[in-house]
Amino acid sequence: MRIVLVCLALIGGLALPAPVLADSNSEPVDAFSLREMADFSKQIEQELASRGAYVAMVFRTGRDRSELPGDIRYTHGAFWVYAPVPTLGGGTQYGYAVYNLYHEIDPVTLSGLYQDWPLDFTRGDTVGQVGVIIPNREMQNRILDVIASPYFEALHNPDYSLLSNPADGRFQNCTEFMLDVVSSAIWQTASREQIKVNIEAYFRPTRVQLNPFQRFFAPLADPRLRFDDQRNGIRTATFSSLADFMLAFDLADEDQIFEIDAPYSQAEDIVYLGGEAAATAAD
Amino acid sequence: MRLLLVSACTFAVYGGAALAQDQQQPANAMEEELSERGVNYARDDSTQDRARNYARDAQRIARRRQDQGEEEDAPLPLGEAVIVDNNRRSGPDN
Repeated sequence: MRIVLVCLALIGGLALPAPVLADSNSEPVDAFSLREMADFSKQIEQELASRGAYVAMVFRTGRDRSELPGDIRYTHGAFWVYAPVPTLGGGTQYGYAVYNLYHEIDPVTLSGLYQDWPLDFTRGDTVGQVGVIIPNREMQNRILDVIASPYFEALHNPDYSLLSNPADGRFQNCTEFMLDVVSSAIWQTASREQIKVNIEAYFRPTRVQLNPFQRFFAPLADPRLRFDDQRNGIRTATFSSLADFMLAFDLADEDQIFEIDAPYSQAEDIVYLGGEAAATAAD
Repeated sequence: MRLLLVSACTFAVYGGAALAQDQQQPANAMEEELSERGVNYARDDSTQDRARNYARDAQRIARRRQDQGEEEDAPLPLGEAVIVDNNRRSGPDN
């Protein structure tokens, strides 16, 4: 492994997260205090609830942005769903349940669907900032219909790739899964084949620039990087490409695509521009 | 189907109780740190049944409020307690 890393350093450095190369399946380390992360999780919930969101798509980064390739801004996304949540005292309170696709600890090339909670989400955040897309009411209802149905699991492909091609069904990551759920809600189908055809036609993925050396060595260093589904460059779904897609087809309003900063955040704010500019500016 | 659902619920309750006992120690530590905020723990395991039940509850609430003529961006009521699942599965990037 050390030899591979040295080789990568010699060829000019790989524009992929260094920790990914070093240890891809380690447990996350909390970047902030538990109290801070709990407050941030509640701050996000309050923002969503104040906007009347029953369903939101929320993104966070588990890596420092200087470690992320190209213009990618977030490393994980999930659906946040407003629901009555049972409390230990036997009561109920309203809050958000979070619907994730996580890759497994071992093997890391497989994923599962896991429902957890806002604090579990913010505990994986390292910059104190999340990206949010709130779909319009019709889309929220449709997405909720999919999440509440067996289609939700049928849309999951457990073969995981960190940079999966959203127009190819071989692999899937968390953001591609979200795109598949949104697509299922739009076209009212659970057929992954049909969804991939439609994504190829209508969705503009984010391009990740890797030179041939990086493309060859990266999968050796991190098994989650599988490029069998990529042709003519690396294409993947991201916060900004999903935001562009939602805007382009009137599935969300521009003022419902935004970022939320924790009080302790040092992250720079990006004003979402919409359209092509956002693909480079906001992700 | 009804029997299956009842069985699933019963299993979830027992599973939740067992999980709560298993996680007593870390839960206490976390509760201490979050004492000013207030904290609640998920009662049962992370299963698709539980996830789907929350989603169906969400559907019912959304439809009921919309049927009552709720405006699209009307604020939603929110509890103060923080819910956590000690069974963390999240890595840095997923």
